[in-house]
Amino acid sequence: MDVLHNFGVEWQLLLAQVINFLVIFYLLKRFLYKPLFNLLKKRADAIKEGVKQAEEGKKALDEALVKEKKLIKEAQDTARKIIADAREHGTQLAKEIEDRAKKQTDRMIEEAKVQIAREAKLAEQQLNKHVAEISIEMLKKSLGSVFGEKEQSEIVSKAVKTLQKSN
Amino acid sequence: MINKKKLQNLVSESYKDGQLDSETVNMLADHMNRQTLKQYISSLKQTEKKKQVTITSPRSLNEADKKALQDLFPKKKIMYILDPEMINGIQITDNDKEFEINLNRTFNDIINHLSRYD
Repeated sequence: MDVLHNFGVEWQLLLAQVINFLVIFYLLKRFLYKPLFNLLKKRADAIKEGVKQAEEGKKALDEALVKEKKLIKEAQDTARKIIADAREHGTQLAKEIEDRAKKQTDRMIEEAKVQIAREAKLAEQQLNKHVAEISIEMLKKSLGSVFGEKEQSEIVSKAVKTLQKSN
Repeated sequence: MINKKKLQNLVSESYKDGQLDSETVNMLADHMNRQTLKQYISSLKQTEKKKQVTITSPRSLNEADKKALQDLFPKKKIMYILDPEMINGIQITDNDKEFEINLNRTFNDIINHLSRYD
């Protein structure tokens, strides 16, 4: 005790201070620390929840990005396939059109050849007929003066004989 | 309607000495209705056609030829027609029988033959 006294510590005062400290400690614990800790705990929980949600969000975002990339790749593949198909179809269509046009042209040429041949044949026939008609017309004109009464009488005699035989 | 036999009798009565008698024809026609008259005229035409021979030639026939033809058809009336287009030949039509030598037609047949088989 003397030692404490020598250092200036009064035990009554120390006791009072201890009691004061305990009272204050109790009061603080009772009315300040507990609500404050609860508040801090709630705040920490909210932050943890926020962090967790942020991580989940980031994860979802990453997944969405991966999905988006995948979808874009699929869309690009599909588009490439469509373009390739369209190109192939276009080439095939162009070939078909060309073939059809060629066939049609060939057919038209053949028809034209047949028609030309037919018309040439017809023209030839008409020319032959015309030549024959002119020849016979000339023959008729020249024969008109050749046949006279004598030839007419011969024909009448022949007709009479023929009809007599048939009667 | 008049039957064929009666009609033939009426047509026979219409002729006197082988010639059509106009008085008889007029008298008969006055007593006929439209339908019978049509049949009577048609029969007369057929009978006239049977009694007539048509001879077509490019020039007039001489008397000897005409006589030869008349001897060939003694009871028929001969009608002569001129057709210079024939060039040379003769066409004799006796009712539905026909005899023909026609140079013009022969030429035309040749032209048709040539144009058909060319």
